[in-house]
Amino acid sequence: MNARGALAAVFAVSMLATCGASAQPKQADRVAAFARLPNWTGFWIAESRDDLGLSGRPPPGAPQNRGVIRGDAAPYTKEWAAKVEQQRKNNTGTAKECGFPFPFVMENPWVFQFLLTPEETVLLWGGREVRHVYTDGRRHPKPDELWPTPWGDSVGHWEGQTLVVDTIAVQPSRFPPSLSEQAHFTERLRMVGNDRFEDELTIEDPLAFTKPWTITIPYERVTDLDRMVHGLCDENDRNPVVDGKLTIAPAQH
Amino acid sequence: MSVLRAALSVALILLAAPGHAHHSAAIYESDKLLTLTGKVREFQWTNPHCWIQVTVAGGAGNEEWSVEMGAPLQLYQAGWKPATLKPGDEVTVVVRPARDGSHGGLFISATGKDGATLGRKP
Repeated sequence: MNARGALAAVFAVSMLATCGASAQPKQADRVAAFARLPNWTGFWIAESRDDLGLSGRPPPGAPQNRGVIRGDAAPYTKEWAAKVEQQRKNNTGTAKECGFPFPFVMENPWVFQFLLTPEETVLLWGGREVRHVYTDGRRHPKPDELWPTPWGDSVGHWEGQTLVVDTIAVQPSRFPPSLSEQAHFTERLRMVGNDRFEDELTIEDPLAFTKPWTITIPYERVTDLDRMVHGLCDENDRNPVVDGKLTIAPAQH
Repeated sequence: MSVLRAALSVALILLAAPGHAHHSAAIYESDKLLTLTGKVREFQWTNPHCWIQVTVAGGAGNEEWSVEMGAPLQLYQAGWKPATLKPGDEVTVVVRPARDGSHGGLFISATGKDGATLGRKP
């Protein structure tokens, strides 16, 4: 081996040592990052939705729509409130849904669960809605790479055992609260007991609201479910809308 | 956002009354209950809703009633399984009857031949 060859060999060995040294701590760092994550395993449901029972609906006499996310106390501008009221009057009650959008999904009737990794936290609902909250330090995409979607774009960071989430680019939907595309959402997700969880949600909307609106949505642990069971929209939809009214279709035996 | 775009956004926001699993329960009576006793013709363990088809002896012969339930997730949570009801099983079902007088109802509770409530909770 000449001098140049010896130098190359030394360089190669040193590179291997360097790579090996840097790869090992990275893996260890990730394991340590996992260890710092809170334990949010199990299934959860919004407290306002825990009495649906076998009909999938609130018990007789109970209001159909409960919960703070409805927006009854939202600080709508006078103009926006008038439009909301008119839309309520125009509601025919025949609308069907196929997936609840954000922020309504945070207080919808489906059971949900969290999957936590150092890089992202994923929220999964029985209705197959999914939210990805990236916690790897990234920012929201650039404006020309971002477009409104039902669940928007979420980035987050951990403050101790609390996940702070920032969400933008949420499509306006027919689900309450009534918001514009300019709505900006900040959430603080955390456990508040062994079997209780909460989402403190602040919504800022320069078009719909006169001021930021903060609500806290409480959740409770679901203890009678051993696995996620997902829903589907159209496997056996027997409630067609006929002449502007929901009906019951006969069974196809 | 332009004024036009904002107006369009508002127009698209229809504040429906979203009940669970895809539509509201407005087609059913809110404060009336009806008890159906008969035999199971079919138990549909399906999304977005499960259905019990019950054959009930009526004045003019047998009537088939369609009883709407929640999604398989809610039934499974309550201890129901696809084989909880089988064709021919005798069953008594309490429902909120359909407002239009058709032979349909929204499930409230059910008991089997031995009088025991089906599932873990009504």
